[in-house]
Amino acid sequence: MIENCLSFKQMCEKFECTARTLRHYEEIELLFPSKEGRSRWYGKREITRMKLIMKGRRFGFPLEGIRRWLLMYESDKNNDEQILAWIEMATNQIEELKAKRMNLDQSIKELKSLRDYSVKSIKDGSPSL
Amino acid sequence: MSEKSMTIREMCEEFQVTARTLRFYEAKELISPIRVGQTRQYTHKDRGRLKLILQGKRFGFALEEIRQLLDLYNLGDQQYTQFVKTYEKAKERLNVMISQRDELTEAIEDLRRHLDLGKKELDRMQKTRMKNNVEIML
Repeated sequence: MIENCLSFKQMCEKFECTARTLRHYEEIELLFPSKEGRSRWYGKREITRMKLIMKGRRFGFPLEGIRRWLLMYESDKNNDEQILAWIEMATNQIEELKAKRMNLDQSIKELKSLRDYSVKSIKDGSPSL
Repeated sequence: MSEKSMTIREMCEEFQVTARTLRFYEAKELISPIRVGQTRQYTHKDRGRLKLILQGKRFGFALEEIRQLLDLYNLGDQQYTQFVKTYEKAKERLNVMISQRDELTEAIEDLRRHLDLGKKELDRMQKTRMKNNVEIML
């Protein structure tokens, strides 16, 4: 056991992800755990990267977008182009999330009226209620 | 018969679905058009059911759930059970959708914060460079 590191299993538990997901991020070179025999260990840097990956997924970024974001976070010599590209991607993504939320609002509205209609029909149909 | 039945093509146009979708719903026994030789005729009842199926899908109901709800219509209790079950399902899905909505709102706000950070970083870099350029010129 390497000090201050999380094991593969601990990582899955901490981030509530499957073993398959965690292995996948390694395969596509988003994560670089240290290997000791057959076991993998995740240090501070990998844990931070995993936090960003999970956040990026929640934002709905494609994996390549997440890669760019990780790069931006870690390099102290960012170039304008890199940041500009990320700003553009994030701006578009906010619009997409907002559109999604609008659709959801519409469905919620319709579902509420279905619910209310059901309640009303139950009451109308049986006077005892 | 007062209502004219519709062909599969007319149904596709009216509801913006593919013929394949209609055949799929038929195979799953969600709708049952009248078969006349090779063609299908969709009655008023099929149209009503399809409307409810599509709405249910938008709400995120599983097809099997939709089928069960629709079939309660034939229970002969003036739809009492159907309304009770629909109410229960609707309430359940509403809770899920409302929490999905909250998650989305949170993600939007979080992303906005990160976007602001990115913009500040860009700003800082540009100012530093401008300062360096001025120093070079001096």
